[in-house]
Parts: sequence; C-alpha cells; structure tokens
Amino acid sequence: MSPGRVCSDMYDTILVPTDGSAGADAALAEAIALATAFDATVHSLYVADTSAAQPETGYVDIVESFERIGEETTADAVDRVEGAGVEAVSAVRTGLPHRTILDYAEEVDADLIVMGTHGRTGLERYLLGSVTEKVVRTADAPVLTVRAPDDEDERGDEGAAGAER
Amino acid sequence: MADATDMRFVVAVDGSDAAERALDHAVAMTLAVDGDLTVVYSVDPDVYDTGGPDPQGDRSEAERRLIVEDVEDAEARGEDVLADAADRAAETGLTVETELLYGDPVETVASFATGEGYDGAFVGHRGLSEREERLLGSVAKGLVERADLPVTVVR
Repeated sequence: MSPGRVCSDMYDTILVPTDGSAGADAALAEAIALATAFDATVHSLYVADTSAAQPETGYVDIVESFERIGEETTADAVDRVEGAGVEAVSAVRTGLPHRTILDYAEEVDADLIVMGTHGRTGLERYLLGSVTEKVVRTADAPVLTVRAPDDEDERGDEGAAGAER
Repeated sequence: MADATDMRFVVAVDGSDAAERALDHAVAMTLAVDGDLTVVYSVDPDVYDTGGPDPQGDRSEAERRLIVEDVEDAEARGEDVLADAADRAAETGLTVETELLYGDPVETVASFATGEGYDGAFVGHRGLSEREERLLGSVAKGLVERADLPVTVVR
C-alpha cells in the first residue's frame, strides 16, 4: 500500500488479539500493513484464559504463567510492529477470551479488530477458531479475519517427506 | 499486501443497513489504496408461506401454501440494490463494478471472492445470536469460514 493517498481517519486504533499462533501472526502482518497505510496504532492484546485454570489446580500459578507468556508474546508483537515503523501498544488481560477482547476493544475505542482463522481441517480449527467466531458475531467494531497459511498441509507434507527418509 | 495499484476488493450487499455500512467501509478502503471495488448481490429467490398459523400438513398442502418468488423479480431486486450501491459509491468519486450472482449467498459470495482472486472482502453482519445464525446461516460466517482471502465483517 502507498501511505501517500489515504483517508487517514478510517483506522486510528487497530486491535490484534494474539495467542502466539500462526493465525495471530498472519493477523499481525495484515494489521501492520493497514496501520502503515492509515498511520494507525496497533494494540497487541493477550488474554490469559481463566476458563483454562480451575481453582483447585493451582489457579494463581496457572494464571501467572499465562500472564508471563502473554508478556513475552505481546512484547514480540510490539517489536515486529515498531520494526515496521508503526506505533504499538501491548496489553495482557485476564478473563474469558472473547469477552475480554470485546471489553478491551471498547476501552481503547478500536476502529478495527484483526484476528486469525486457522486451517480448514481438524479439531484445532474448531477449538481455536471459536474465539474469532464469537468476536465476529458480537463485536460492534468491524472485524477483519485473516487465514493463517495452510500449516496443516505443510505439516502433512513434512510428515510425508519424513516418512520417506 | 500487494502493490497499491493491484488491490482489488469485493463487497457483498443485500439492501440491509449492515451491508450499506460494509459498502461504505469497502469504498473508503478502496479509495485509500487507490484500488478497484466490485459490488456483488446474490439472487436467491425468497420462499413465502401464505398459509395460516397451523403447521404445514402433508406435502401437497405445503405446495399449495409455499410460493417461490419469480427469479426475474429477484433479479430486478438485485439490480436495484446494485444500482443503489453504485450510486452511493459514485458520491465519493469511486466507480465500482457490479455483479449479480445466483444462489445461496453463503456459497456464491465466498466462491466468487476466492475464485476471482480478490485481495479482500467486506460483508455486513446483522448481529444474529448463535442460535439464529445456526438456523438461518450467515453470509459473514460463511465467508470467514470458507474464503481464503481476508474478510472484514462490519456490523
């Protein structure tokens, strides 16, 4: 995109929820391209999913380790965004993923939420894609979905190549 | 993203307010990158139930009660919606291509956008609940699930 010819008021704040997956990576790349063209700020948000931690199984430890992963993941994202010459903000929140993403989007008045979708096959797509699906269905802000490169296929190819060796 | 002059977008419209907002979004994006925009409408004749409050009985009763909209009427409605969309885009100085598709929009819009090699798609979403969406289907959800290109869903 050429940054010269833009309606720069269209996107000012772009939110990219991340979980460190290939889908989130693809979403971040798209967000950087848009932010470059529209002179926007990219927010990288990691949600430490409290539904994955039960009180009886060391709740505090698990949430803390999620938060640590979140700090690292969003720091990597900020490096990538700033490396492209775009302003970046990182945030780590605790809660239910889709609800927390919507709350954060409202809090920072996001003009666009960019999220990854996964490959077309397998259980992984069903489970991990469900947060994106919920956000698409319920967000007030426009949601841009980006499909991750077909990593299942690549993995399948590698597996086949490995079997031949 | 590819070079600015190469960017081609597609937006699906159906005459709804959400689709109009999706169109506005698509127009702004297209102008921003000096790209091209195609507006599509999928002709999918409505089926009306003319019967009373009782559930349909046997098949012959269903045939008496259900009226399938004439395809030409559905086409004319599509042409109107596309013309309105083109006019709306023209107000911003953007000339758009328009295209009538035929069939369930969940299928046709996704395959058109993917098959024609667009760089991004825009679609409106009426904010259905999970249950409504499962019953009615949703073009937005269908696009997000099926299309390989980036899809922006606008409420």
